Amino acid sequence: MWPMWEVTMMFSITLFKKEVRESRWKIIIGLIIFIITAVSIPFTFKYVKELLPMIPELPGLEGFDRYLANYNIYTWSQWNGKNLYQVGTILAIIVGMNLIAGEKVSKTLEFLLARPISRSSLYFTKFSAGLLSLGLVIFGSTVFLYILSVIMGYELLAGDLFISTLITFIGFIFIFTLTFLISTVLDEPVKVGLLSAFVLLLLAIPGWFQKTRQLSVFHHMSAAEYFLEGKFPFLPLLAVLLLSAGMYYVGIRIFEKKQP
Amino acid sequence: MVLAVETINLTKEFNSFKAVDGLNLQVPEGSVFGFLGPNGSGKTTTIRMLLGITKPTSGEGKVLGLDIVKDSLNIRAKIGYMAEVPEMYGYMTGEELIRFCRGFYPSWEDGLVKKYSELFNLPLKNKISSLSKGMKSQLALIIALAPNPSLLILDEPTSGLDPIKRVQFLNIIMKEIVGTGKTVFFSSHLLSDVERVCDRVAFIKNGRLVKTDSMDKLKTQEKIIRAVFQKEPPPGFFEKPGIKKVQREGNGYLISVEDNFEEIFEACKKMPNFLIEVIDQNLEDLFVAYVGGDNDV
Amino acid sequence: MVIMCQQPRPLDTRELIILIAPQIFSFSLHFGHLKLFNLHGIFIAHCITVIVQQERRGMKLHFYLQPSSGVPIYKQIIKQIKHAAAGGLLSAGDQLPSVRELSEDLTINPNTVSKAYQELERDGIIEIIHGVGTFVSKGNIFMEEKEKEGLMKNAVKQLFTEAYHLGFSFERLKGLFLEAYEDAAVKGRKGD
Repeated sequence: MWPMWEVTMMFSITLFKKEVRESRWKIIIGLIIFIITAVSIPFTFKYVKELLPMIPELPGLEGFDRYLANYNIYTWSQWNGKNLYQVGTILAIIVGMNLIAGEKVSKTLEFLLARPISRSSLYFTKFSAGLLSLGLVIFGSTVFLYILSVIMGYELLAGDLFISTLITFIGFIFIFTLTFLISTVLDEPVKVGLLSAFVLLLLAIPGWFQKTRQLSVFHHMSAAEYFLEGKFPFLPLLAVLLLSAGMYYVGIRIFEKKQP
Repeated sequence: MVLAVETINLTKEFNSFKAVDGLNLQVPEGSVFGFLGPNGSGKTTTIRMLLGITKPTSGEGKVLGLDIVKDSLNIRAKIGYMAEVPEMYGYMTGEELIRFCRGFYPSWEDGLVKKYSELFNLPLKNKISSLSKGMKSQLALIIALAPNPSLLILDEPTSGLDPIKRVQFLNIIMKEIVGTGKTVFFSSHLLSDVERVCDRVAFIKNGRLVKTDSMDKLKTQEKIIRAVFQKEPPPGFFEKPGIKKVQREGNGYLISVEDNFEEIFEACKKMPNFLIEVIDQNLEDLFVAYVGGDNDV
Repeated sequence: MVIMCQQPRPLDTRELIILIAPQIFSFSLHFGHLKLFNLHGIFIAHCITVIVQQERRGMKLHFYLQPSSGVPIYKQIIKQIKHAAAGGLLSAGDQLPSVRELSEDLTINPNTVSKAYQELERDGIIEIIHGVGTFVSKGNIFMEEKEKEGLMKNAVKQLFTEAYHLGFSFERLKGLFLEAYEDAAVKGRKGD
């Protein structure tokens, strides 16, 4: 039975399975929402392109037609540039907020800690399960979008789409790790979600101003530089990943001392 | 003597409140050890430290020879544990929870799980949230026994069970663990249960160990001698080793003995007396004597 | 006051009850009544009764154990087996339950049963034959007369102590004594 025993040193398969099972509705509903959003893109492209010349100039819509230049750019503007990262942020918060705080609320944390699993592998396993859930939804729906677009006869650059989505996903890692950290500190999932949303809102502020845009995670998540300018934002993404690692490290230190 | 559990000056402080205060506990391997104390005396905190769920503020502890701070993962692999209130995942069925727990342990006795879930008549396909408290305790016991642990740590395992189930519970613990070199360490308020099965007990109060001894020694040595002497005993009579307290009772005395009972009793009988009587102390009497007191109404 | 059947022969249920009843009387005197004087007041008796099958003779030996008494359980077991052997309830060669069996039936620590059996073996009351079982010794199954007298003396002494505390005169006590004796004797005769 037990080559598995060595694996539990860093990672627990049985815990991982439980976490994924507990998140299954989040995955399913997330997929449904994203797939619906994905579906809207090829369908709306044609109609919006036709309608736009007919609509009088509306404030905020100036320059919009450049996003309609081709299907690729339209997809980007609707997907990575907007819906993916906005709805995805909410999903990342929802997936992350329950992970530790939820165990505290249901009082099962002590039960879990009484098992032969180290706190660090417990933490890592939950973290991985959350990321996997997010990944499934994000990449799954992106693949769906690609396939649907092709079926409907549009030309979509797979490579660009994938890389942009990867960039967006790195941003999600940041958001998820932040929420996970807060879930380790606060004891109620809802509070965790709200605090995380609040912090992210503050972090979004730099993105509203041209000068400080570089400081906003969301700006980078949208993969704008890559898509529009062809520059892969190495440095910003590295910074995001380092910050995420830092938050993970802080989270694990806090978790080591946590009383169930 | 090989010790299954040993603590040396184990202390846990929460914001200057000492929940466990310099505890020196010794649990011999193969014994059934009762850990007794009033609510809030530090029993659960001690158990949590032994399991590595809580870290001690100072002091050391060893479980099955392993350090509770450095080797707590290995300790938990060898221990079966039942919490006072078994909070398990309510949304899972019994079967699912068993399968979940199984994945954590290097060894697991499927046969034992089957045997006892049938004996207890547990509806394993039902959600745990729908089980009665007694059934939850039974399920928790099965999960504690299944990894074939060398040490069973139980926190108030039988509270919440009816008298028949309690006997059944203890019986199963006796069958599976005792007599095979394994150890049982349990805290309980149900002193009659403790009296039946424990061979050693420890009394804890305010986080400190107040008394620890074998059950048989407690029963044979802890007595109160009621004596009405014909005249005052000579000075120094009451200083004999083993006498812990002397109270006047009308014309006579109540002599509380904790050791050297036979000697003291003989000495009392030799003194000219109107009455010498032995009052036995049961565990409840001892519990009140050693850990009662502060908050008596 | 206490009648012990001296004849080692198969007993039917009624005889058994008659035999046991006075023993309860004496046991309660030992373990129970002292508690009346106990300042704590309420005497809670936890009695565990078990019926231990004596396969070979189809006779059942009741163990009355009180875990809450001040007497260690192993001593209670020793006493009851000694009394049963001396009184004829157990005969030479009768098989006793194994340590495991008895501890499971009574739900007590098997070490306790072990301890009792070891002491009984040391005193020659029983024999433990490894791999076969535990048996009442073929020799010495009757208690030394001296020991029996010592036990009765103690019982009588407790009785007097209790009477003293309750303020019973000697005459009154005598009356009770004779009454109880008549009662037990009558029951014993009925069983003959």
